[in-house]
Amino acid sequence: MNAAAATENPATFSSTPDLDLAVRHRYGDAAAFEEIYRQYAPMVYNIAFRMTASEVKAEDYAQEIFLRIHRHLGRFSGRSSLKTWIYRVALNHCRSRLSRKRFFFQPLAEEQDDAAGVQLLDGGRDPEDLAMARDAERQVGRALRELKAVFREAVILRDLEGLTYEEIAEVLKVRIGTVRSRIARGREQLRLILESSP
Amino acid sequence: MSTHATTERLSAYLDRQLSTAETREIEDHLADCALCRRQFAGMRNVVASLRQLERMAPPPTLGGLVTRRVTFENRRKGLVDRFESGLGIFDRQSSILGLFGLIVALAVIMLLFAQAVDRQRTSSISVILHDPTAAREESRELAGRLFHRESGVWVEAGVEAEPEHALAADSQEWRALEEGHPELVELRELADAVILRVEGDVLRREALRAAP
Repeated sequence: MNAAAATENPATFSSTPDLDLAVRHRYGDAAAFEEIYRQYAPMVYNIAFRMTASEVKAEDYAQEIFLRIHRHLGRFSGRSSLKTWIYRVALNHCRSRLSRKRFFFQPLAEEQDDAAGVQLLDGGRDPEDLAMARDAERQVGRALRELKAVFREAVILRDLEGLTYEEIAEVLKVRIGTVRSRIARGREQLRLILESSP
Repeated sequence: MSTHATTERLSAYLDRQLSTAETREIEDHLADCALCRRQFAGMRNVVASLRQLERMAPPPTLGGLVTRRVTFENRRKGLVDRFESGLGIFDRQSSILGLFGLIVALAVIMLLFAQAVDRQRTSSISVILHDPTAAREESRELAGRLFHRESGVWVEAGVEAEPEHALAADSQEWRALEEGHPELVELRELADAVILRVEGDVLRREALRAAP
């Protein structure tokens, strides 16, 4: 059954769980959106955090992203997966907010470290080891913030979110060759940044 | 492979995105080329470090904030829907035209009213300069806007929200704003801090620093 028919008569609808959630939401089932929030809140928050390098902004952006999801979910047609659709909404929103606000803020790389972005589990490790690991993580986080947004997005989606190249192409609406190139350039820039830092 | 491996190839190799033939080719090259081996090792370390970054847990307050915003949005939408259904005795087209006409008429009335208020306000501008014990109230019209001085800060008329950003008058960001909005240069006449709206955002330009 195609998406158009599904939206006409949800009683006879049988399709993917993703489309099912969208149709239920469209017909006013609040539990559908709650389910989406539960499933995707960590992902949305992490995208917002890695793009903004700020817990405060990440919380703001995450709220706004979920509001956009709430507004537009009824139009989700099932052509992509709900996961890639939500990634796209999240990244588009972060991009739009960052390009509007960057004018008034310092460049991301100059913002103060958000120490809470480094969360290491103690796991009974030697304190000195833990401090060194924390420092290394902070360096990586800082280097990530220095990347150009297009490369940062690609690296976040691949190396932090674990998406496949095909999924990333779907999220970013680019060809796989472009995904490959952006990931490579992002990683190479990170390597150069980290190798040149003390 | 007679030249060095490209960054893109190394990255794709790391992700097992190459064909069997390409993989063999690059592995043969890495066996012979120390430079590419070093670059590849560096890239592999970067990816390993990224994958070790802990995932952040969303703050416990996020769910409640989202619920609140969604509830507000639903209420607002409900009001719009009720309004639209209240117009149901008319056909949709005439109700839309009628609504549009009403909005235009209201806008014209508000504009005329605002102009009348503005004329009255500017005609009663008072500038008190030499009585420090009296309540100071000043108004200035600059950059196409009206500013009132309140507690040592110039505030653009109609701006009530707290400023979202504060910029030093000699900062790069403020200078760039002046380039984009040349009329803002007139605000250099105001030595004290200025709160105004630019491109929809409420900003505070800090006081001009006195020359040493």
